[in-house]
Amino acid sequence: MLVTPVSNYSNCRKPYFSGGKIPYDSVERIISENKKESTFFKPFNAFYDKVTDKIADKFTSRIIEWEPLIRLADKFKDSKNLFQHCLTVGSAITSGLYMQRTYTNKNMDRDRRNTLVVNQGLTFLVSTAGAYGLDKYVKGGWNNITARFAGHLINDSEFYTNFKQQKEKAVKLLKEAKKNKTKAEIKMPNITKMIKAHDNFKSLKAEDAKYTLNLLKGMRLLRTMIVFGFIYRFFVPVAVTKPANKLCEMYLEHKKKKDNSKVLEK
Amino acid sequence: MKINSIQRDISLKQGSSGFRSETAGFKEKCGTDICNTGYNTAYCGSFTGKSKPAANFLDKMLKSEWLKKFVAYSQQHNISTSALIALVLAGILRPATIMALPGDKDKDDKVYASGHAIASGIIGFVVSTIITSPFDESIDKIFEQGKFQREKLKKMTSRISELQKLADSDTITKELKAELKTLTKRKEALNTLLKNIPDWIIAIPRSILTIALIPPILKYVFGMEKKKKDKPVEQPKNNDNVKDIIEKSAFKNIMLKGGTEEC
Repeated sequence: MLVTPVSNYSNCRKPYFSGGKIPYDSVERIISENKKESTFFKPFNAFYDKVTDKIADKFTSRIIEWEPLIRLADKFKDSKNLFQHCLTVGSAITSGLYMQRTYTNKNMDRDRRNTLVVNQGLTFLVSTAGAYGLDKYVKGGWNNITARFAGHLINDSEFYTNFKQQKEKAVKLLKEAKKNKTKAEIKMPNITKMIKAHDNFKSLKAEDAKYTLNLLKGMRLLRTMIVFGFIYRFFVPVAVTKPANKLCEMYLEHKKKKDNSKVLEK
Repeated sequence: MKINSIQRDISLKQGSSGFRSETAGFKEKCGTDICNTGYNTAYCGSFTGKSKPAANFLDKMLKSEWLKKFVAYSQQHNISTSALIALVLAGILRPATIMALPGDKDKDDKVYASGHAIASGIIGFVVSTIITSPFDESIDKIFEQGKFQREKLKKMTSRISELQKLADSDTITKELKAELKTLTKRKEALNTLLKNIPDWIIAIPRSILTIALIPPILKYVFGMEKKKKDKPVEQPKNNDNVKDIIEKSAFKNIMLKGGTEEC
């Protein structure tokens, strides 16, 4: 093969770094311009934006003004478990529907229907109590993770350590108060309050500060979503439903035997 | 066949051999850093924060951009994220657990139950996301961007910002501070309720849709169909005829030899 200077790579012009400054600003500008919006999705995004504008204007903004909703918000404003309650209501509606379907199922006899409905209701109640309990149980550990996350958000590697120290201090004081049987107002450290008081947070732009606080709120919601999802969508179907059904069958068999013996006695 | 030196050199890429020359110096070269690889027995384990590689992994994850995006998404789209988590749990973890549970008897039932879980997870996520996402977006526009606010919310928002200004300048009284706290909490509760009440409204249609769509999805996507349980065979009242047939030698031969021999 004839090797010409063009095909020979040794003669190609190689990129080199002369030692000068890398134009970071222009690189960032190019990246951000490319990131902005893809032309392919542009019409779709514009249409979606218009639709959501219409929904906000004609529907959502009117619902917000609805007096019963404002009263409901006023009633639950101090509740620390409002999101948990919302998930529970949603689950109660779904469970209620399945209970209703079981109750109106004509292929089953009356005894079986009633027992299954009670079974479903009890399973829902026990699992909901479990979900609330587990949510409370994992709160401490999750707060540690959130504190780490918050530290990264405001670029403070010591934030988590400070949070942990304050937490340990509070726990110690609480234990002492419990031991001495004295009433003391000891509060556990609050990540949002700690963040708001932090210098790095104060130096953030208003938009970035809002985004940071929203992320912290999101972390709190994420914990509850994972816990309730785990209980309702994994633990109950895998670990609770089968034993509950077995108990149900045992009860029905026992009842049948009892009824038969009564008939024989007569 | 001519064997050249390259073909004969088994020390190149073929695992252990006696030709390895670096083994003696390995510990001296890498011994100090070996603990940082994460494979050392002293450092593998849970995310308690005491384990260095685990803590490093956790930090790496918490720093990542995708987590920020996911957390922001979950804050904005409560119902959709709940459905996404349900999809992961019901679509991956639940089938894996069902299939791993002991009991070979009802393997078909297990496969069907797994398919059922995956299908319901997918339907739940798709329906929830399609219905609630535009609504969530509209809530975000009203609460976060301050657009399309009507009388009551406008009043509430302007009062909050007014009081916030006083709080920032440290000129706020105790009563006004309490008012600010109440109004902020009320707005927050309103936001949470608005984002989650659609879940209550779509719960019933979604469940009906899930019940209706699961069989066709299982049939046409996963190729599964629920087998009907065999009805118990009715016993003939007079068993004498059956006994006679069984006792006949020809029938015995069919039973024993699989019916290959001619009667």
